[in-house]
Amino acid sequence: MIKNILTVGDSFTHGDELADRTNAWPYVLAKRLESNVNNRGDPGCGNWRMVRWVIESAKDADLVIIAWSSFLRQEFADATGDYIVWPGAQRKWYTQYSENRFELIKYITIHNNEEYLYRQYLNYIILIQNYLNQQNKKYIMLDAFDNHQHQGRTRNKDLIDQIDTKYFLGWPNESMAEWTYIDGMTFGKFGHFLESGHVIVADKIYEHIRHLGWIS
Amino acid sequence: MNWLRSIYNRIKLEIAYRKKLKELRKRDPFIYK
Repeated sequence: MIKNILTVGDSFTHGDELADRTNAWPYVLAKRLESNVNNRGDPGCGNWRMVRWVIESAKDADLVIIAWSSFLRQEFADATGDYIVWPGAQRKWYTQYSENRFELIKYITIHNNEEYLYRQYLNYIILIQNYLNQQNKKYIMLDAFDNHQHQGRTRNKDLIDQIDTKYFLGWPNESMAEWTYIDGMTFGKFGHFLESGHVIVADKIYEHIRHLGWIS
Repeated sequence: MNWLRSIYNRIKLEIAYRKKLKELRKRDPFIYK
């Protein structure tokens, strides 16, 4: 019996660009499972923030679902709080908050190291899977987009071999993007899939849960 | 002359940043629009 679900992810999990955010996949899935959901989807979220939130919020969850975001997103913090830098993609966001942050994003955009960041993302996966195993929590991971296209997935065997892909939906070649960016689908102005896409994602996760034998 | 060096460094950073943005947009016009 899955009573409480925790979902963490980025804008796709948050339900960006939906007229009603309760049509986002975490709520659609929770309805099908007749569960409560604590949806910690956050627009622009990076993977380290997700790791922190899983550790902070998994205590009461029977099932944790982590929808990883782009491995390029990095978290920093200054006196006004923490924030995510996504190299090259956030000029407007940063100028409106702080010029100092924008100086940093320029630097990070020019000088980041993709291979290092990809390995960092693999490390996050391993950390969280081991943490949730230790806590006896059921979990499912998936990618929102982008990560599976990086060639790091064919290298870095030392880390890849430690990932339990049974619980990683879509591994190694699929993400939410492959399931939803198909003919006939509609998208928001900023490229997010809309209601029908969220139903597809919820269905995929539901089927995987059933396949794992967690529901009958 | 520190102020001059500071302006020079800022301009250098801005040029390198815009060049990198162009590269990124070519790679993925959806994300980096």
